[in-house]
Amino acid sequence: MNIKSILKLGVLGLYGAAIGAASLAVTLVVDVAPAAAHGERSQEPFLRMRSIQWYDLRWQPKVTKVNDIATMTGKFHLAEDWPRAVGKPTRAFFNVGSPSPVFVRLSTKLNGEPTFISGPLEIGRDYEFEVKLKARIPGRHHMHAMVNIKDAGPIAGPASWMNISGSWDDFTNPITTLTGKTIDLETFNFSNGIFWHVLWLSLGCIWIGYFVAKPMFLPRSRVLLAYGDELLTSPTDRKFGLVFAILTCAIVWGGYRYTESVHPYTIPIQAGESKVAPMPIAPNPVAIKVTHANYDVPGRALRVTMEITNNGDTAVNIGEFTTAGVRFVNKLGQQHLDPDYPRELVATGLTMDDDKGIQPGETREVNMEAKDALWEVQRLMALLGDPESRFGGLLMTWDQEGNRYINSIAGAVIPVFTKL
Amino acid sequence: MSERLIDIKQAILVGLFAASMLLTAQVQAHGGLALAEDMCVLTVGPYRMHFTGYQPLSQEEEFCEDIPEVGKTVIALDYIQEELRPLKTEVRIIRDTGSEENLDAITVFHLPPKVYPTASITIDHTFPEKGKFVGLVTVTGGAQDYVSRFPFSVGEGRPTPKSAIIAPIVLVLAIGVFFYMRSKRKSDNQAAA
Repeated sequence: MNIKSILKLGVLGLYGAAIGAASLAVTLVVDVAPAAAHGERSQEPFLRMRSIQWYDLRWQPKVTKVNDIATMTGKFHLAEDWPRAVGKPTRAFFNVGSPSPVFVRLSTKLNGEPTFISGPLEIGRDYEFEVKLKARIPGRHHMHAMVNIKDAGPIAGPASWMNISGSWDDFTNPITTLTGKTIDLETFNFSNGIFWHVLWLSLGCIWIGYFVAKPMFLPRSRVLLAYGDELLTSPTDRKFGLVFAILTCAIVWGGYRYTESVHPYTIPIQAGESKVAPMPIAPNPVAIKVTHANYDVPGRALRVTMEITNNGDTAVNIGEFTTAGVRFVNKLGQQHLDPDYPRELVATGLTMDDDKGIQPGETREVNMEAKDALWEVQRLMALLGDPESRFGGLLMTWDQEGNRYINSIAGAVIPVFTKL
Repeated sequence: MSERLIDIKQAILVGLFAASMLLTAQVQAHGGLALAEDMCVLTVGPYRMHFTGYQPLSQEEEFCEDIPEVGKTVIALDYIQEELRPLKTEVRIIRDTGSEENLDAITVFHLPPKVYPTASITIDHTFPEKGKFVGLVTVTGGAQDYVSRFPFSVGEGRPTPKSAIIAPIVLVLAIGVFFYMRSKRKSDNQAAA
């Protein structure tokens, strides 16, 4: 390859870069729309309805200043009707879904235990979480509770908007090290981080640039297939590779030795596995068997027929059906509804064919209807297009003494056009 | 090799030019009703509703804007904004006669003003014959009343998808540009020789 060819390739590359930049600029100018939340509604309904089932979530306070502390608390149940297509929660990590690190997470507790690594969760059981957050970037942010599951991906829970006021410049994140020195994690060794990024990026660019300046991928591939790699590597190439290998090893070793000398006492990034026991199983006198369910497509209503048996001492009434963070409540459920729960996730269209309480010892067939536009707005009934069209959720009942009982229910759904 | 590179460069240019044709804005020809971000949206003043039309006896696909066939039709209007829940909504479908002076005489379907706490309105109507109609959705009870007006046809079949119209035009243009640039390059080479 002569100088002329290299120049031609370079000009072509610049030409391509210019076209790319122009295309990007056109796209940005012509086709920009403001992003809303995290696209959680595009997550498959079976994931949101039949895997992690969230309840009792609270975000406090919802308005903070930079450096203020906020908490996200709540509980979740791992549905017994866990979808077959979704990886089992043998390795799960409790997380927070936010638009970039707008808060700094100070701690996470599952059932009261500090939890900063992954571990197994048990299907059919409940967990309580508490996340402590420190306000960092001003703005209005949509904050999700989330569980990352190996082979299933992130499963987002309900979110609330949280507002942070003030200036990002005022944010500090001080911690005391093992040696008693106080450092600000927001700015600590920032220039060091930039240095290493620039160093490795430069070496990478030089390495790629050296080989890109030669005949490109297709000619090289053809030569390789026809004649082997002897023709493709010159003695200069081998010397260049050797120099780079030695240089890389030297930088890694030198950097490691330097860090050891400056920071002799360090704690490695923690691995292993968290082993958090689920919450104890609460006594529940209510037994539910779903016998039929359909979805009224134009009416936006899920109708569930179920047999409910009350094995307790007092009558129980249904008050809430919650699924994918959407809470369908009737008058009883509204009495127990947290007024701070995101209004856009509350639907008041929960009705029963018979509102009388289910008496002790009674087994009754109950027809429940959960009706609201949220089925469509939250894109939950996209499950009708799934090969396994099943709904899931938590049904909450209350007895006369105000005790709440939670049952995870699930069943196949058939789409119908009621009035036809 | 350089000629090949120039060919590739031309192909990229033609491709980009063709792709840029697809970045055209939606044309709003149905009043307050339009497809936006892959969703059929009815705009009523500052409010938005999700419009979904069904003809389950004759159509498997949902529709937006024009109603493809005569017969049983079910339309669902879902409130997108929470602010709409406490407000009253009135729905009226009238024949498109050009004059709306006597609304009752030309009304074919009417839902009186009502609060829909479930944020969803179901319109169930049978259109016995083809024709031009106008939908009127009125929101009252807030600081101001808003009316959305959207003309639509019934029984004209499914409209030709915009992509089916645009794609052949783009293809013809792309081929034209390709051959033009190729012939120009040849003439340049001959002139240089």
